[in-house]
Amino acid sequence: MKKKEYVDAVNEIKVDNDLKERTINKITQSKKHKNIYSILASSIIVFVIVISIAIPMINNKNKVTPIEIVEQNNGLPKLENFENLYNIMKNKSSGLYETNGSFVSFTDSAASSETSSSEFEKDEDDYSKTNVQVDGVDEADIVKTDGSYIYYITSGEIIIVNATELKKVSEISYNEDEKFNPLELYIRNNKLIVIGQKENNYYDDLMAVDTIYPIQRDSHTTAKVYNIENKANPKLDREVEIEGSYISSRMIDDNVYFIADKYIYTYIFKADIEKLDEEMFKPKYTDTVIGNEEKCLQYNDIYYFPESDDTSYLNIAGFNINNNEKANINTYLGAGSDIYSSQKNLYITRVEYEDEDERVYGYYNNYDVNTYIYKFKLEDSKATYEKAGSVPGKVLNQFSMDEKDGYFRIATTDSQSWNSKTDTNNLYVLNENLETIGKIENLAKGEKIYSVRFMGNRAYMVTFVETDPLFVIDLSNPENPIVLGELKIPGYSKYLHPYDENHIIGFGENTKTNQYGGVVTDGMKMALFDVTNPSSPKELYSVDIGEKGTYSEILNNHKALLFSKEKNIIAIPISISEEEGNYRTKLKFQGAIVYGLDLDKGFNLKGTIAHMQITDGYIDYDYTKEVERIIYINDSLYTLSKGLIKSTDINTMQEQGILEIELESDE
Amino acid sequence: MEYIDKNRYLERMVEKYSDMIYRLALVRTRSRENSEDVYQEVFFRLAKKLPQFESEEHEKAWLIRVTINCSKNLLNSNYLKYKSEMKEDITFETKERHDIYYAVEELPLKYRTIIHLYYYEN
Repeated sequence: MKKKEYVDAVNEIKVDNDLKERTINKITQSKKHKNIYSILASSIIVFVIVISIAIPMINNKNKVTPIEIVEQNNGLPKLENFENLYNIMKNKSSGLYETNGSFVSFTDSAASSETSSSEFEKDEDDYSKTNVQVDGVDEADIVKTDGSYIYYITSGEIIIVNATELKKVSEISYNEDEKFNPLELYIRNNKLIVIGQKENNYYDDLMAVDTIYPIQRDSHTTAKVYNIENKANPKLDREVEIEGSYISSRMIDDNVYFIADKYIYTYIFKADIEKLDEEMFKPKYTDTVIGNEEKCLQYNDIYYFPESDDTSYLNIAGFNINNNEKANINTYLGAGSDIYSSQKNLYITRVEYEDEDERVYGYYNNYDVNTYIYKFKLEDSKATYEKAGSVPGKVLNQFSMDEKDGYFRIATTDSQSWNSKTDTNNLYVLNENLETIGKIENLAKGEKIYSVRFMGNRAYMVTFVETDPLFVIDLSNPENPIVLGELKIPGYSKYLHPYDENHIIGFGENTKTNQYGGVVTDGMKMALFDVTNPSSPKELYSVDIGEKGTYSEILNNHKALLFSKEKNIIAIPISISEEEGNYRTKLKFQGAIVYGLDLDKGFNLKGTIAHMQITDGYIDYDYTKEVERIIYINDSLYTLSKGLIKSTDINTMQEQGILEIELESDE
Repeated sequence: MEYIDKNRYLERMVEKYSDMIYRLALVRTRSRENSEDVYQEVFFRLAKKLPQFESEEHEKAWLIRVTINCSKNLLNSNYLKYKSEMKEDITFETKERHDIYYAVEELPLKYRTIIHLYYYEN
């Protein structure tokens, strides 16, 4: 009785829209002009009102399944003309609880799986490479090395550093007008490829604003190719720019593929079609190989995913860094969020929530979650759409997917409602046509997948709610995946990395129950699992690092790991905290922690490398000295933070030298 | 690597958690004015830190934690404001709701928070 009344009472308290708008304005840093502000205010109010009407609207239920539509059309249908776009957009309810995708984060998500054939090949080069998911498919990162030079993105520019001398030889910076923010890079032979975003707030400079086009933030994603034959003088070779915010990219041989997502505000389509300028909604791009002028795609070039509720353009660009052929740009209406790429195919997934019931306290009551998978063949810098498929549930990140011998394997967590007790976990095997031919469902009911790793004919899956079962799944018969074994341990792994065919390293967290019966994290943990006998996997060794509050980027981003079996190095950046009284934690250390691993003796701590001393928690914390990556060249470890690069001898763990980086002033 | 338009993300977060944060701030500070300050501060911190959340529970827990911290900081620095009583300026549809809300509001801070988080936020 009491609870209901209290809840009802609290429900009556609402945040007024004025406060919301003010807050949104402040945190999204849009420029404020008096008259613009009122337009923005009214448009946000309109937006909010539209949303609150749109959300309870029942989705247009087609009797034909979306995959059937695709098949009928011999592929994806095209938009053909602006009227079609208009009609599609008009019918979509774009709530702020958009269904475009599973958890997105601002950096990579962790967990890599590798194709079995070249998994344990010995590296000929004596320098570290980015920890990628698939051999032969490079992933961009904030730092790369070619064994002699280090290329690193720090405070809006790229610096090229001679590694042995620890001296900066050049830098690539961007002036304010360009508004280009470099995000990650690739290097290949004598080329450096930088991918970044440009933000344009087109309309906030206009004094007289048409109420149909209120302030929109317009992001563009650009790939810039530099010739770095002369390290002291990098030369911009080529630029390819597409609309939208950067989702991800891959590089296979000399071909770069990058993807951006451009959001379209649906409330604009509430206006009459005559009032809208169809040119505005054509996807635009630039390719310096063709020229400097902006080009646009026509409506009969744009494909759409029929079942998608999403109102974004997914722009995919592919180009070869060495030839002067024009880039291949494709646009699809309907977005995607997670991608997985093998050497031959790119898979883009999209989560769709169906059959939503009324919202209760912001959470949908009963729904179906499905992940749609779109397969694109990658060849000669062209990404060609091939097939679509779907499976129940949603993926965790790129490591939830894997391709082997043409089969596509995907692990999902399926929920029926916001109550996580109905969660189940599944693994599906799809053939080349993305038809499900094998599956395991209903694993670990009530738990969610925390990490997945595909290694050849096996899959390792970690689910968790209170204890962590590590499942070993056999995939040698694609039509019949079987759970071979299970290991239940407290804590969980967020990232699984193969050590060799029979051993896996898990990076994760310890957990404990607090005094209220809830499960909380209790420091980080690194463990070695022995899966020689898959029906009884074992935890051979484990190391506890820090206490509650301890965090490392490896928990969310596989690229933060430096691992070399040959050099016997496992290094991650980490912030180590300790508990201090109830609820409180105190930071004790930030830097790199370096371990060796011996199958007979376990993990041994080689040492730590820090760029700053932590004396009093986060007081005086210097973010420019926060170690974010570790790489090695020959026998030196290089730790990188925005303001400093340090070189340490791998064997003695003695400091060899430092390079201070001059930073621009903060934004 | 997943990137999403930062501004869109922030707008979404404001829409999603506005009420939750404001209501919790109100329970802690018992003042609309202070709650507005706390509300803004929480979103500033989110925008500045942009933490990566492992799950929705984690996301929510982080925001609750920050709301409680900000409320605490605000009250510590605004000791005098805190001393003044909360005006009965929130109106409710039924007397029962009015009575129970203000009854809970009378309780000491720790108990108010527990009741609010337990009953309302689970």
